[in-house]
Amino acid sequence: MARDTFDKQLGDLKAQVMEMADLAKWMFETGVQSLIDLSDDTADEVLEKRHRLAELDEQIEEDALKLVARQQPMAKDMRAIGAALKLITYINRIGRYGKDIAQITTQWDSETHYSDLVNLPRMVELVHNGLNHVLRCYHEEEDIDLEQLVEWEDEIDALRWSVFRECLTYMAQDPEHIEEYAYYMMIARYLERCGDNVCKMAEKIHYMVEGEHLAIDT
Amino acid sequence: MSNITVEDLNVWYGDDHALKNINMEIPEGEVTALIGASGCGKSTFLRCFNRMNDEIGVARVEGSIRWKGVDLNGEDVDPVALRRRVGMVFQKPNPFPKTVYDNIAYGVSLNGRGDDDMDQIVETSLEQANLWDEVEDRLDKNALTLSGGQQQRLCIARAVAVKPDVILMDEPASALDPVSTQKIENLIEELREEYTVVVVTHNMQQAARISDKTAHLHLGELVEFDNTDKIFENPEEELTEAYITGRFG
Repeated sequence: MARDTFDKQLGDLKAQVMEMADLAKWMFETGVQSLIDLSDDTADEVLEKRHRLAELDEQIEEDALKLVARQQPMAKDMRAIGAALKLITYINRIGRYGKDIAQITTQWDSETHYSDLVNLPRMVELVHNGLNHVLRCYHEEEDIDLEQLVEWEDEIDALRWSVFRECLTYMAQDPEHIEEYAYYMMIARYLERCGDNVCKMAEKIHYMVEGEHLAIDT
Repeated sequence: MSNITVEDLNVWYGDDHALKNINMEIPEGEVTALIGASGCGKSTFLRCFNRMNDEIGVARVEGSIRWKGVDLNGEDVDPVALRRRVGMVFQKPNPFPKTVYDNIAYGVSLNGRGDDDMDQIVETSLEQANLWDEVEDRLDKNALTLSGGQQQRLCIARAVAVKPDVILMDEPASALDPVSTQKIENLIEELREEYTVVVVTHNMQQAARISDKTAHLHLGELVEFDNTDKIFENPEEELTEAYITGRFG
């Protein structure tokens, strides 16, 4: 091949994006786990990782811009670099929502949860599945079924409002734990935003693979 | 519209089939870039628009290039008259060994515009080529004393002075430094407002910057012709993708 070095650099860039995505996924999942277990130690592990997440974000951006300057990419190479630059923003946000959830764990005053965490576990499962799916597509450079993703995102949105309404009811019935229910509402919002970011990632992966700009209405 | 319509164009150099069944439409008032690996036929193609291949003894051209209702390859077309309407700028600047002023005036007087205000024509042409400010005090100096970039812009001024409709450029900036290249590219950007420009370039980024349409040729065949944005962002043909991403061969 005529551009072996460039191909290797593109491969390295993708590997860095995957490393960052794995970290963000870990922060998200572990942040949620810290909340379920009400474990400050687990939450602290997540909070500590935010620095590494920021480092990777900066490093990947720098490397991607160097590739643009030095290799002057065209067509699929340009799309791959452009996608990487956008993906890291969305990945960073997902990681930071994991950190935000871990932060709630550290501020949780009660010894227990309430109302079986309302619909939050189902939302977590959906985000987890969606994130894994888009990351696999990115790794394999496969297109994503965007229609299916819209349905997936609609379910997350619906659950978010369901959590909101339920929590309002529980707050009225159980005013002693208003703070905890307010946290559940915040977490539902974070999970819904994670879903939006997964959709944004899917749009960029679709562009990278197919060269077509499409926007999912989130 | 006076688009240039190329139909079933074939060119041979002896037994060598240099251009094979080219069909495309060059849009009026836009910049069309021709790209492709060395030997793909892009310069041969460019020379078809002003019958420069006629000067090559072994060259044989078939098919038609229709422009304003006339087949440019027709026997009744005078190649010299055609070249007044279709100017050309080459890879290496080739000013006449005359003064800056005479480089412009010579072609103009040959084309029967000698009665016009020659000083005004020279000034306007040099302004159009963004060169006037640099040479207005040196009009009586030999053009060969100008820098390479200035000489190339002088050649462009010489081409526009005879008021052509089409300007052909064969790698017009490949022999120039980055600053001069930038000036030529800016100039092409301005020329598109008045002229149809067809430019051959080996520089992908340059084609992407300056052209509206891009044609990719390979081994004498037209592989793909589309809007430049489309070609460089998401080409249809794998061969084009391979060429523009540098993975050719």
